Amino acid sequence: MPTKPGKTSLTPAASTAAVALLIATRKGAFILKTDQTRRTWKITGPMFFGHTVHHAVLDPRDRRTLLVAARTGHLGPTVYRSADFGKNWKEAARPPAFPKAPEGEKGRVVDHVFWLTPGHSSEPNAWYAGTSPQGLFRSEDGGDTWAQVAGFNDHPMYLQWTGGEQDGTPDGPKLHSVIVNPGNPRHLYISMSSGGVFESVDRGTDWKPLNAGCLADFRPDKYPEYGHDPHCVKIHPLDPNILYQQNHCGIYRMERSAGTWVRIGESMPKQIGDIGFPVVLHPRDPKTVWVFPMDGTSVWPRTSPGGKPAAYVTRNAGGSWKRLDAGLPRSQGWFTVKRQAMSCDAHDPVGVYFGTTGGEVWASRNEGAKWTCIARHLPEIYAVEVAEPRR
Amino acid sequence: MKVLIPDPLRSYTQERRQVEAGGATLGEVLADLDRRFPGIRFRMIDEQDSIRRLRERR
Repeated sequence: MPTKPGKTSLTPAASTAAVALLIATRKGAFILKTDQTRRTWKITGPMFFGHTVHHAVLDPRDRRTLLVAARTGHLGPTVYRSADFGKNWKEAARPPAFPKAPEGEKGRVVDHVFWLTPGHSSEPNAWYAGTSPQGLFRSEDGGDTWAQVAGFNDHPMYLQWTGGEQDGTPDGPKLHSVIVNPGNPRHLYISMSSGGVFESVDRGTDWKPLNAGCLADFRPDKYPEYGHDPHCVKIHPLDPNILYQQNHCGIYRMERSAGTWVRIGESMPKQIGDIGFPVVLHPRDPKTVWVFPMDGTSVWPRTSPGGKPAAYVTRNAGGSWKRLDAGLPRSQGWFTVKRQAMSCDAHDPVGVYFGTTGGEVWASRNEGAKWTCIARHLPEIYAVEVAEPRR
Repeated sequence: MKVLIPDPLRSYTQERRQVEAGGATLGEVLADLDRRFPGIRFRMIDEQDSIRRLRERR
């Protein structure tokens, strides 16, 4: 059984709300809904059928508004907004786009919006978007109009930091893991594949790399200032001094006051390794973290090691890890779980969820102790985000 | 002039297959279309004023 995290007077009560999962896929978006018991699930969709949907996110400030990042093969990228949890949708009047380049210069074009992050709780209409190629955009009106964060997109070091358009994932270089410090709306983090982790303390006007201690074994200098490949970075909502990172080169933890990434994946079993895409943080215990390891050997298969899928959890901030595979296939299970495709709710015990590129959604009502497949035969899953909508 | 609207763009024209737009150049016609059906131009023309290229997704 999962151990109970140590509670303090600042620890919020566990949620008892009904849970929904926002499923973003290569061919549209779906919503899986359950009640407070989380025992049975009902799927609705597809929404935006035929669109590539990279991310679907609930606004935690009103718990009704949804934003979706979508594109088709023909029509370019855009953002859709629903103020009533998916009943009605309106396209952004001005989607994220780079400024027009001066005559004679080559300008950047947003290929797709990859990541959406709600702004700080004190800024109810603010949203951030990360794009491919790497760009950071902000909306002040709930996602209707977007403007670039010039402090990053036009930073004098932009080309060096991003490495150019070729230097990214097979699906294009991406800006992701946009994080707003819950204690300070001016304090932002972004991550790039590739590029590394970067930080701004002035709401995006200036940026600095934040990669000390993090390996980049594919580069000539194994510990460069930038040029890393973070896959997913999270900040703990109750302790913003704590960051976790699933990187191309391992699992890391940082105490921001120390400013150095520490590789906590070294304590994973050697035959499993510490490569993967998502990292999921317990909402009340900063020492509890889930990951979903991928085979990172040879030509980077990025499937469950040995065809035996499992999540791993640490409850001591990476000191040790426990395998969580009850209910998952015992063999020939070649799962790939992408960086946005694993998340958790705020119940007690915490519900943990992930989606696979093979179109399956798996759920655990007990912090990973037992998994159940709650949807299958969906298109390739890009993102699974938990929503606890207001009734 | 008469402008034929292909399937993927009909959500902008209230599902109409054919609409009217004016202009002496393609650019002016697209600008007029966008005035009548906001957002439709950006689906065809990117932020650098280039025609979006078809990228077939299987």
